[in-house]
Amino acid sequence: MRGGLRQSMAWLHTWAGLPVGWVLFFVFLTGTLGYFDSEIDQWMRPEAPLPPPALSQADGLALALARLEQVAPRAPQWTVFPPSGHDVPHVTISWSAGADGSGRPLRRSETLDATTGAPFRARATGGGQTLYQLHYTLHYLPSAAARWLVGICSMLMLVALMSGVITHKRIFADFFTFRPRQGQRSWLDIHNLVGVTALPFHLVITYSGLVFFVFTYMSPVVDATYGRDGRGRFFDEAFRNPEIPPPAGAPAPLAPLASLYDEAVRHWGEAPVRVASFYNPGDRNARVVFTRTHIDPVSNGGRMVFAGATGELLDRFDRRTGPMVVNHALLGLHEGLFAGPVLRWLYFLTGLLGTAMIGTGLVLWTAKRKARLAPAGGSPPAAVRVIEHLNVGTIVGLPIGIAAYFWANRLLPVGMAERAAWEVHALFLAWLAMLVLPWLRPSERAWHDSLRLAACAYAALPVLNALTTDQHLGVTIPAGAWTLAGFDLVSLATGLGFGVAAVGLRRPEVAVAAAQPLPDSDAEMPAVSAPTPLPEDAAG
Amino acid sequence: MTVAAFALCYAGFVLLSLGQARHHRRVYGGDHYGRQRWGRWVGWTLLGSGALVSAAAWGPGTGAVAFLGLATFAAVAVALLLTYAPQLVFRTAAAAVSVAVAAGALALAT
Repeated sequence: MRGGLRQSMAWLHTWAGLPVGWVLFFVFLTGTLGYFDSEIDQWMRPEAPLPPPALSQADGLALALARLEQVAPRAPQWTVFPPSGHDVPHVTISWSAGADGSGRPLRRSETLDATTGAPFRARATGGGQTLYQLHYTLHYLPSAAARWLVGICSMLMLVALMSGVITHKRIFADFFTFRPRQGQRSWLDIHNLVGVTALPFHLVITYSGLVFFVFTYMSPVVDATYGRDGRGRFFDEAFRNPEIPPPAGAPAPLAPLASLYDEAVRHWGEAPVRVASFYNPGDRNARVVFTRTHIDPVSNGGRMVFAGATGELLDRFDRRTGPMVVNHALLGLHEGLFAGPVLRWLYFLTGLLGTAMIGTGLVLWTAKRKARLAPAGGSPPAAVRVIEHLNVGTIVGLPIGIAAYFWANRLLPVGMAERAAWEVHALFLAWLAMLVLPWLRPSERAWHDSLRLAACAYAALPVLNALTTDQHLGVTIPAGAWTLAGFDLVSLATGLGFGVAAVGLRRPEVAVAAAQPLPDSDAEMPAVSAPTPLPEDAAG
Repeated sequence: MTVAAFALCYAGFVLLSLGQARHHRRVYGGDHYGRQRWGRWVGWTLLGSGALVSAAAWGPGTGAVAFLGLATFAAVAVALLLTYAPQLVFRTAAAAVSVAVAAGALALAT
């Protein structure tokens, strides 16, 4: 091995990262938006009352039960999401409603108005839920294929992270170093800065992402003990899924829910219920299952099972075996559902750093090759041009696609058939258009046009919102509805950010600097080998 | 306590960066080994206090997550300031420590 460990790790870093870079960019960006999924939900349902009423969990549960008894008295199963903290401000109910034509189980759901208890009619939308689920469903793929594809990409992400750390020879010395306006070196500095400062996040999020589907990726481990048909039994044992008896056929009213709720409060503290599930409601064999709210990274998964007819507590578990604690902790860390407002913002911003790390890594690949070729006067080979086009079309094009998702939410007719599906189609169609654009424009122009378009798409969202709804900044800020106002303000800031990037790209020195190769540009990834003087030192 | 923890991380990273030859030269125009070593000690101490404050405010599990998140952005802020306003870094660190002490005192008083 001629170049030694560091050189081979640099090679690995480049070739593990590049082939999956665009998928990872998509996964990181849409996943990051998931930290504000319910905030996005609220913005995308402007019909919901403003501000969300302060409703206690006990009242929310009572409201939900009254509605379910009215609308689905015979359904074998009900689910209630009572208001829990800032991310679930409304009461949402759902119930099983038989099967559709092809035999798939059908569920219906409603979100209730806290003052009347009636469902409010909101436009059909995928909301923040569909948006964040994209990062593991990939939307158009069958779920098994999507899991495997995301899994392979995540595995390569881990490889890229590890090899990146090994190949970064000045990880401590360059920890605080950012040298702007030096083309390729500046890109490398940003890539290193966002990669290294947020390294714990990148490692945990990537590894825990793999753990989500560990039973898919490593199914032979389960099969070896439980047999190929024993997966259901394994899940029941591992996750202690409550045993639900079949309906007895003898009607029996549900025990007063308040006493069950008081029991949960006694064990778990205030507002303890994230999900309440009712099995066989109205039957003698009814079961009520409470799932605990997330209060810290390891507390998720707590559950209480009651006999519905008598209200007797049948089972409660919080302590689990060591491996389950690790499993829950990793999933809890990934989802960040325990995070209050400050931590949620940190999660969101760190997720953006991860997205930026992937984006700058992709840009660096082309910057390096263009710099090497520029002095010879050659135009970049086709491969570099293809990568550059994919970079423009994804790094700026995907955000434009996401903006299109929000635009579609406001512009598609409310009564339109398949409305929620078309919101997502708008996302992918806009992204596709942005992937095509670079082939029609010279590369510098393509970057510039895309950035300007992204700036307009985001900066104009609050304006569009003001024109199409009555929940715009002029209303939301005076009302103190900061969730809705926050969405508009973040859109404005995003538009501003893209605008600054578009203006920054026009500065001539960037183009000049980008054309100068670094001294040791034959190394794949680590660029600055000798301690290079900072610009001021060189000048003085 | 968020403010105090972030301020401590920020001040800690400023002193750690000034403990490095490159940034020390950039800010002060030369080397001063004693001061750089002192900077590293104080820097690690401040960073450690940031971790303790996070653990005290959020509990050990959530506190660890919060500390890593806050430290990430404190380090990014220090890197940007070292690039664009190196002459200000030490003063901002001193201000950050005062803010942390004031926030801590306020939290204890209430």
